Amino acid sequence: MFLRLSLPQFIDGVHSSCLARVDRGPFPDDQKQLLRATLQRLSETSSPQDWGQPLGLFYVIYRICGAQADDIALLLGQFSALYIASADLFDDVQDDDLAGKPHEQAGPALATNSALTLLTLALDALGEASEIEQDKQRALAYLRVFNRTSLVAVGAQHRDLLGFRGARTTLEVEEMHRGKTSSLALLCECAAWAGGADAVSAARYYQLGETLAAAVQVIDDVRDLVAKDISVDLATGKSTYPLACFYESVKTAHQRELSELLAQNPIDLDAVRTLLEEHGAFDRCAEAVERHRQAIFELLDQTGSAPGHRRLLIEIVDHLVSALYEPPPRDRAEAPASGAFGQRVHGAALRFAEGARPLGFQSLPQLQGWHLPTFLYVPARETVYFSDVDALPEEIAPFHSQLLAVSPREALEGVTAGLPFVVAHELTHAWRDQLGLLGQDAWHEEYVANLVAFFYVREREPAAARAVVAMCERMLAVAEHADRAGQKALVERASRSSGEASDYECTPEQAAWVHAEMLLQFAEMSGTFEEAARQWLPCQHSFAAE
Amino acid sequence: MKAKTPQAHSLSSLKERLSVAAQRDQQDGKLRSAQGFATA
Repeated sequence: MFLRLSLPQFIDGVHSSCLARVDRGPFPDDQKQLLRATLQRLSETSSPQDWGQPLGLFYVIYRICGAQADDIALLLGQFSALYIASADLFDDVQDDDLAGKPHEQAGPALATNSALTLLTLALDALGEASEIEQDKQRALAYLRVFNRTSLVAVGAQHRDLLGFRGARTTLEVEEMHRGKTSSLALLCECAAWAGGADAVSAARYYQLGETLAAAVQVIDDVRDLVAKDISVDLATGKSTYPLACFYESVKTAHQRELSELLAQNPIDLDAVRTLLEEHGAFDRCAEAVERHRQAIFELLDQTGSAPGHRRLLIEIVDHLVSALYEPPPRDRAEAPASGAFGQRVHGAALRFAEGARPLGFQSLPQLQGWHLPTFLYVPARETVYFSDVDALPEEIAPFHSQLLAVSPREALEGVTAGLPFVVAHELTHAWRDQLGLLGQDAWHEEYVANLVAFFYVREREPAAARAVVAMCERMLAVAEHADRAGQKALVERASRSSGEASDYECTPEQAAWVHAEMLLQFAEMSGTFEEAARQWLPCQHSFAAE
Repeated sequence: MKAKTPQAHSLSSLKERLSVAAQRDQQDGKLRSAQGFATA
């Protein structure tokens, strides 16, 4: 089985190559240390599994556009990461914001030199990508997007440094934002080129990056106002989107009220927040971000295929905006998973629903593919998320492969064999939710869902039950760090609801071991699916009575 | 293009969702039940 690079592999590849560039450079040791620390600090701000970071955005667009050349993608990924690191460091020097960062002791002169070094290393990676690119028009396009973006960025930075405080309208603030975040547009266009996009599509992804950056800026402006103890933007008198929304939409008396609040020292931040909220400034920010979100979806609809990665990009956008408002469902739904695994999920769900309906099961929740190796029922959305093995096997396989100490191919075969159990497990959570029984004690809910689902497959899908038992035995046999006694105690505790809210409090790997421990105990127990359902989903009696 | 007109979260909810700590919380590699129930 051929698996493409997973996101963590791509991110690790880009970061280690960036560090190797630093090590190979003709720099003194202390400069190398500063550069390494700068890059490490940026990479540590997010986990390698997190798609909502710049390189996650790069990789998802690369895959949507066709993923033509991993070697070029890794080089353009390095270029993007080093370019962003350089711009970030220049910004810190100019904003006098080196405190708590690697260049704090070194000071602004050395920091400026480091920023220039990072930019030069970025150009090194860009040059190498151009050299191995066989289509010379595309190679030239890489250089053009760098020049075009950099010129926009330095113009906007100049305006920002002068204290562009005259921006009173939302349009003016948006224009100011646009240049400051052009590196995201650069990254999106580079990813599209690496993926194999033509000039028209690459331009669309530049625009997508600009639009996403505009949304990020509005959200950042709101964050500065509401989520910090001191608003840096207010303290430095910067024009921000929420303020512009307020000034544009209220009468002069209220404008004066805000100006008076802002003239105080110190500024009464709570009073400012309340005034803005009362006059709908944050709602107008949400409206602006929603316009950006819809524009991103329109751009996305015009280009690319790769349904798994398209869905990921949509999730990145939706996760981002959900900090500000609940994003409404898309008008145009993404195509449901139509591969062999997706069909098996739907088939298993229909069979479970049919078997459980006489016992009071009501209706199937939404079934939605995603990139994680775990399945998840989300009550608020009445949705079961399942691993999209058809579209994103490289994101799913490593977790199971490591847990079972088998090859990625064997791991995915195991996931497929045990699928009816996992689907029944998630649908039991949904069933409990439908009956109003879903509690806050996370491990107790797992106990119930495992018991009901295991007894179901043992009766109705015996091959799946055998596969699950075999996988659990293997998982615990190869788990060197599993705490068997602790796991058994947790299973014992989970058999009764504590009546209190409690979380899993463990890593996904540890959770898998506890599930395995539980299931091996259930395999030794007698009982039927109907008995389990009557015990743990007791509202069925009222259905029977109706 | 017809954009929907969403409402921003309440001030207290915005504060919680936008704080850097909350963002990091989601990235620490731990399973959390706050959003849903999972099987590994």
